[in-house]
Amino acid sequence: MTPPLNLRVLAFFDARFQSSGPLWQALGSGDPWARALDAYPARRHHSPLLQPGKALGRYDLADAAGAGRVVAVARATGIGGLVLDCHRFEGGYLTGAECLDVWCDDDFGLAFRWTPAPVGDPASDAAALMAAIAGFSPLLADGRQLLVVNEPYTLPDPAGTVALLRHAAVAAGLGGLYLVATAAEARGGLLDAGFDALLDPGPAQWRSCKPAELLNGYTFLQAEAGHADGGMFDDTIMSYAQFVNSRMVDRPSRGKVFPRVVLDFADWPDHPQGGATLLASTSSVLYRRFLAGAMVHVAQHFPEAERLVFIDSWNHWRQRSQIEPTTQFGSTVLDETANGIRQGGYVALTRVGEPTPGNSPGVDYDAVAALCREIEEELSVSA
Amino acid sequence: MLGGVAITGGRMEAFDFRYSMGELSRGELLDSATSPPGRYVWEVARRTLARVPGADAVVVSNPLLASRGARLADLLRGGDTLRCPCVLTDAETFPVAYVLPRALFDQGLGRFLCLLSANRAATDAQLLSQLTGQIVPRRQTPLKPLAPLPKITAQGYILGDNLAAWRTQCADAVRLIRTRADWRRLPFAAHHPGHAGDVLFFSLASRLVPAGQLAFQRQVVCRDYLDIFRDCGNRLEPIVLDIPPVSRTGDVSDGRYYLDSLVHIDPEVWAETFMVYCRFSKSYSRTPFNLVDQARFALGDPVATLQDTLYRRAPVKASRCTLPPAPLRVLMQLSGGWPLKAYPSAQARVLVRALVRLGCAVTVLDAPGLAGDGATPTSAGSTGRLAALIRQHHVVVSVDSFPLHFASQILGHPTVAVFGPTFPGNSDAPRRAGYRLPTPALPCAPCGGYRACPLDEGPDCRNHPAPADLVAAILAVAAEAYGTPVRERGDAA
Repeated sequence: MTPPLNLRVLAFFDARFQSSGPLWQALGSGDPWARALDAYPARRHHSPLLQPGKALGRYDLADAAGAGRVVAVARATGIGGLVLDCHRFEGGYLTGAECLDVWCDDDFGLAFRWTPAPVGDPASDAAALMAAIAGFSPLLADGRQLLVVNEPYTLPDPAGTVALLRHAAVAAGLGGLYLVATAAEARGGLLDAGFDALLDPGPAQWRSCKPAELLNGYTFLQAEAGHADGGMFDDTIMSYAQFVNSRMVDRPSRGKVFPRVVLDFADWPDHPQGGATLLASTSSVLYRRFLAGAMVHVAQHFPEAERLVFIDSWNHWRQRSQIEPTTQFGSTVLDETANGIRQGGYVALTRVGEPTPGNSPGVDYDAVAALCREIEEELSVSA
Repeated sequence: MLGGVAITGGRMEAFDFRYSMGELSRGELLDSATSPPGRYVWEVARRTLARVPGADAVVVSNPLLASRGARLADLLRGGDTLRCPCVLTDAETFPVAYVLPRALFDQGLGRFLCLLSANRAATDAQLLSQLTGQIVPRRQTPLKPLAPLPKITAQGYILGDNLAAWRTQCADAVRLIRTRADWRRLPFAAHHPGHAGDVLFFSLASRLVPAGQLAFQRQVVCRDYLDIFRDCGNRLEPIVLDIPPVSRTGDVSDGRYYLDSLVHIDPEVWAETFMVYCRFSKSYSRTPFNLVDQARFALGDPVATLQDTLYRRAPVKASRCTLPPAPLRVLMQLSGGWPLKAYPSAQARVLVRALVRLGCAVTVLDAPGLAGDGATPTSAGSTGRLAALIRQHHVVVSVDSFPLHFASQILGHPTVAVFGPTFPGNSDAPRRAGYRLPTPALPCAPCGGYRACPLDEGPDCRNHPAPADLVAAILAVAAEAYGTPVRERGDAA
């Protein structure tokens, strides 16, 4: 099942679930599932981590059949590719892509996410990065290999880094890069620096709505007096409904930003002393609509070769954001993912095309917006 | 998930069907909220027989339950010798599946399956018995008792009073067949009496269903909406209901309204009509399909592929205002069937004032409060008057309510659609020149909110497009439909 209109739904993927190979060795061997899942809630509002369900189980990506099953399930769901992290190791990078590549083709490719860090020789680092991502079935946007740059605001010279990456890609024979920066809106200057598009940051990177009003003065006094769990004040808890609305509201005004669709998020295992970000009252139905709405938005506002939606995530179990089947909920979420992709594909297919909203040559959109703002101000003054 | 099993000389072939979320692939069924569960029994049987044309019998799972074909086949293999026809039940009396002889379909009686109760095996067995002329046994399976069922099933079926409505339509049908020798020729009536938009969707659907697939000849309609029924060109014969339409507040459910309404139908008409409950058996906002397509499916059209859906059909009509292009005349309907559908009043004032300053003449339906902002208030009253008003204006702007659907889908007039708390896919029009739908973006819609936003509890839906988006859409539609230069600010002066 592939969505129409060149729409591609990608999922962030953790390739560390393997019990042999260079990535496993580089990360200190051991049981990757234990590393991901051995965390226990210290606070009442921390939901426990879920456990892999029967459908895929605790797979070993180093086993070709295990990796093949994962890719087959992702394909059947309607996902068009996976985004793998690039892990720094001894002056180079490891991605784990070799486990998955054998199961990929033109309809299901691999993209990569790179998190910049200070290095002595940026040119060598860029060359090492390109060496690590070259040679696999690429996930293309506008005909170029997709590379997501995480935390781009840490780059001292974004334009210089972009130039360096592009140069290194050509030298590695990649034939061009489609660079996506993780940032919420175009105003930060990253598009001017040469990035091709932006991508909504994750819930912890961009708290796009106010915290849920779970903590009123009464609760605060209770906690201060030791009668309630004070840990709630250390973490940021957002209502899922408010969160997804804040991610979709007024999207066109943010510029060329790909949607990141999130089912759930709770990073308390990595913030034992507080400071975690959590989504509350999550709903698989709302998640389906979030996904379908994101697809329709992309189909309406992005050029045909650049219509991407990112699901965060396929298997980030440690953040509770995985859409893989779980012991507790079975394949409910995966089914809703498939339903969302079908629904979004149908709505986009039947609604997108000529006439395109917002493209009438005779309408001065800026003048209309200015006129309405002026009237709003007049009315607010007279009120 | 619905299971179908074809039986050919004792050999079984199992098939799975699912309610489509938009793909409408080979194993998918259009998800129609206005179809009673029996309609799906007919459709699954039809599709199963299409796959195994030589089958002697077909077994279809109860649409209220999630059941794969393989599970159904397992149930069939266990126990005593399988009789055909028969009704399989759980360990008690709830129907799990129907074993149907091929002859039922060869004789053109498939549509009678729409009348199944899907929740009382005895009544369903009586109906099948009357249809086939054979004694239809009920056979228990080892399946644990299904009761109590949830209020809304995982497939989206709303139970509650609907269970009694489906039982009543089935029992009434049994009575009718027993008393009338000519029962095979008696008409079917879709009981879908309101509201205004729903009558419009059914009317349009009745025109779109190919003649050979239309299973209905009549439709029950409230007198309040009889003009809509006629002016929208409904092909069915009306059975007029002289009671107010069902309340929108949910005080009275659709199922209860159906039961209460039957005594208000002319007894002579009732005594010669198979009445099928076609109000909402399911939650309609769960499905991405347009209510027109949902109604087409209810009326017998399989709507089996994307090519068959409303959005793949070219619009048949294109109405235009014949008055001079200046000033641009805009007709607005900013309130809908329930409070949360209304375009927020503060934004409505901005919208009206902006259009007036651009030199437009703005007429508002049922919104006298906007007179102070430069609009001319009016009201329609009937579809004839509404049609005349629409033709006197270049562009119609409307929230998700009857005037929107009438202007865009029946007349084909230049229209801007305004959606907030409802899902456009259920009731928007196919895209065409002269039609705009500034897309509402929030995933919280459809929320089901009636008076207030379920998220912030405020009286307004924040998913409505901003006034600037609507003004731009109106100007774009006018330019597209009339080729007139877009009004520049200050034209009015």
